[in-house]
Order: sequence, then C-alpha cells, then structure tokens
Amino acid sequence: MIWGIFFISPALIFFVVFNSFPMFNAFYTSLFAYDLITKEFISIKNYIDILTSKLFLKSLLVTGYFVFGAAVATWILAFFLAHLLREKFPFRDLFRAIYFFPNVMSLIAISIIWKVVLQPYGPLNAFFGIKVNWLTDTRFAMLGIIILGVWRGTGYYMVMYLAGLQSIPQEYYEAARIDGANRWRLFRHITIPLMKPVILFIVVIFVIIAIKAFEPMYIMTGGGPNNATKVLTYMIYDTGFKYLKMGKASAMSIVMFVILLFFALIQIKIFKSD
Amino acid sequence: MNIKSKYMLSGARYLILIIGAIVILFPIIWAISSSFKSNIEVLKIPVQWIPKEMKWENYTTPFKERPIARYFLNSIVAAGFVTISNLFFSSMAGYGFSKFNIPGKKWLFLFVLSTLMVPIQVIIVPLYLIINNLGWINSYQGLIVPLMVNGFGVFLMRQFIMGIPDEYMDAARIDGSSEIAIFFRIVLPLSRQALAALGIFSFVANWDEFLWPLVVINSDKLSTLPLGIAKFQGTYSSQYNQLLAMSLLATLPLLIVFVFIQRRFIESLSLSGLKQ
Repeated sequence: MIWGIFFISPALIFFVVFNSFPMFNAFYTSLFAYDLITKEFISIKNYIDILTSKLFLKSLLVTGYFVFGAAVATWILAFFLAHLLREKFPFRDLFRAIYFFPNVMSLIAISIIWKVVLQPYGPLNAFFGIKVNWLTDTRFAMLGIIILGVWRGTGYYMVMYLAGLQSIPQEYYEAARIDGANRWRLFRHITIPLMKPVILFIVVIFVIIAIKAFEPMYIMTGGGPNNATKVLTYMIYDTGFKYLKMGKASAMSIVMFVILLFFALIQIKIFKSD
Repeated sequence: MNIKSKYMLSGARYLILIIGAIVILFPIIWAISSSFKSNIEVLKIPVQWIPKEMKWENYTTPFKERPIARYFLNSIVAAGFVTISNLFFSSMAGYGFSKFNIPGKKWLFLFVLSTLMVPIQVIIVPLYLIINNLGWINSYQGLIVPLMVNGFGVFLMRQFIMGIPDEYMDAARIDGSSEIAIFFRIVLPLSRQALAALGIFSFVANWDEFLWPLVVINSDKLSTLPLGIAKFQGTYSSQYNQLLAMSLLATLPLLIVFVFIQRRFIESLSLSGLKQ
C-alpha cells in the first residue's frame, strides 16, 4: 500500500499543482480586476461585463460557426471515406495514408500553407478561376479556416471510424448476405445501428477539440477581419495577454470550461450507455 | 451481383478516392513546389507547378536571418523532456493504480481523469501567474514543467499494466527484489508497447504545442519551432517562398516519425481521441 502511494504521488501532486489549483484559481481570479499590478475584488462584474459584451458574444457565435461548419462536413466525409477504405483492395493502405497525411504535418505549418493557398492570387482561386478574398473578407474568412479544418480533420476521424467499423463482427454481414440483403441494406440495418455509439462519440470529440481551436486563426487571419474569426481561445489570449485583463480573461475561461463540461458530460453518458 | 457491376463499383470507388487524394495532396505538393520558387512565381496565375529555377536558398537564407537552428533545438529539448517525463510519471502512476491497494483509489483515479476536462486553454491565466511567480517566464522550466504529466498518459498506462499478470511481480518479490527494481526491471520492459504509443503521441502533440510557448516565451532565443515560425511569418509576411520552406522543414521531424512507425503512429493518434 505504501508503495502504491509512492508510485502514484508524483503524478497526483503534479495534477494538484498544475491542474486543480489553477482551475480554482481561474475562478478566484475571475472575481477580480487584475492587471498584474493592481488587484481589486469586483465579484461577478467580469461575468456581467463579458456576457453583455458584443465582442464576446460574437466570439461565442464565431466559435459555434467554426465548430459546426467544420463538423458536419468532416463527419460525413470521414464516415464515407472509412466505408470506401474498409475492405481490402489494391492500394487501400496507400489511400488511407494519404488521407491521414495532413495530421502528420505541424498545424502551424499547415496554417501557413493554407494562408498562402488562399491568397487572392493563390492557387485555389487560380484553379477555380475565381477571385475571392478568402482571408480578408468578413464573409469568407471563417469559411477559409473551415476548409483547412475539414481538409485536416477528415483523415483523422476516418481512422477513428475505421477503428469502430472493425469492431463489427463480419458474421453479421455474411448472415445478412445469405438472406439476400444488398449493400444498402447491410449499411442501413447493420452498420448504422451498430456504429451509432461510435458516431456519437466521434461527434462529441470533434466538438470538444474544435471549440479549443486557435492556431489557424492566429496564423491565417489574426482573428480578423473585423473579429470574424476571433474564436473563444483567441478572446482569452487577447484579453489576458494583450490587454492584461487577467480577471476578465479568467471569467472567459470559466465560460469556456462550462461549455466543454457540458459536452464532456454528454461524452461520459455515451461511454456509459455503450 | 454480376461481374460487370462489380467492376463498375470498384471503378467508381477508385475514381472517388483519387479525386479525394488529389484534394488532400494539392496544397502540399503546391507548397513543396513553391518552396523552391522565386517569390514572384509563387502567386502567379496560371499556377506554375515546376519552378523555373530551383531556389535552394529559400531553405538556407532564413537560417541566416533568424535563429531557426536554435528553434529546432528548443523544440527538441522541450518536446523530448516532456515526453520522457510523461512516460516516466505516467507509468509509475499507472503501475500504482493498477497493482496496489490504495485507500480511495477509485476516487483518486477519477480525479486523474477529471484533469482531462480542464484543457490548457481554460487555465492559461493561472498557469501563467504561477510560472510568473516562480520567475520562470522565458525559461526552459517554464516551457516544460506545466506539461510534464498528463491524465491521458496515466489512464493509458494503467489500462495496459492492468493486463500484466501479477505473477511476474510476485515471483520477483519472492526472489527479494525491491519494489523499485520490480518497476524498472519488470513493469517497464513489459510495457514497451504502451510506452511506445504514448511516447509517439506525446512527442507529436508537444512538438506542435503552440499556445503555451506563445504565452510563456517572449525571447527569440527560447522560441520553439512553431512559435519561431509564427514570428517569422509576422516579420517576413510576404516572403511566401521562404515561409513555405520553413513550414515544410518544421514538419520534417513528424514525417520521419511517421515513415518509421506508420502503423503505430495512426494507432496512437486514434487513441488520443480518448484523451479529450
């Protein structure tokens, strides 16, 4: 028993110091006006301020736009690809590797590449013969970043779907085939019902990851134009480390935590029912 | 299904897959090609896939103007340290949680899992304040220490070590081995597989870590590679050819990991989905 405590304590002490304590401290700090020099208790004023600030509410909206915009396309494409790449056929593994490849690249590198690709005279516009100011037009900036998100995310979630598909016993399909079921019916009546928990799980994971997105916005648009891509993490970063409003930034963190907690609880519920 | 429709089906499958692959590869191949172009050539319409003249200096000039080599070193040190400490402390805790009776074990483990619900974005301000109080802003300690252990690692190692039969440890105890020797000579070697997966995951995740270095480091000398490149981008924002060259270089270490251990790489990343 003593040895057990010996083995777990370093990690536990670490988590208390660098995770739990900061969590409580974030809440504590959120009740102050604090700029690293003067500190004044103002109770819930930070919360009132941010929840009535147009900029913060816009940031919530912008985050939602990014998450759901990227999510829907990614889920569908990833699921579809996982299906096409499920059975063995020549070059299957090569295709899997290609689709996964963007996840092997550094996110900062990818953001820079896409930033150049999306320039008005960049290759994307050239390819389609259009002239869209992807990153400087408020209507298109977030769309440009969503394209990056889908481009990168599809391969990642494809792998997760593939892992889920592997868990369906082949016998189910064989039995149904003997009964004369066609491809669509196999998909509709075996794959979909058995994959339901996996699909839900992936949906929630995607949301939790996407809510925290920051790097592409930082590199590609700097949160602009006109805050059209200033997502939640970006707001926290700006408020805390650009304007040094530590209390306000902490209040934003707490709001973010509540949102993440909501989705984490859904995730736990799916895990338990599975 | 007759043979003809089967062929059509696989033809359609290949067609879709090839179009998809082109979409994925298009920006990457374009970036590789453009990293060798002159800057005017990068944004030329129609797209020039083959540079008129190979500009190798795009890969060397930034090294002269910026401490890029230093960024590389910093990233290797930071990601390397975090990975090693994560492997060490996670396997220790995983061993403790899976093989010992500890009062309140279930609750302590739930506590470990609960840390996964608190990502760095949420605690970035207090973490900064702590590191500031310790005087660790702009230091390797500041960069490394707050990321040294993570709940996912403890979870993964616990799951894995649970599968190691108790007989191994009991036999060693009867032979008079100390508990620490058992951990190093039996538990760690038997956990190689899990350690490899966690090691890869941890290195890749930390190589790409951006928000924390951005907050805690403001000297050029201590910048990690992603941070350094982001700054490079700020200063040389229209040197697209060099920017692309540096971005591709930043990916190189991850690519090497990928090529050597492709299978395990994908496994460990799909595991990381659980991390959230």
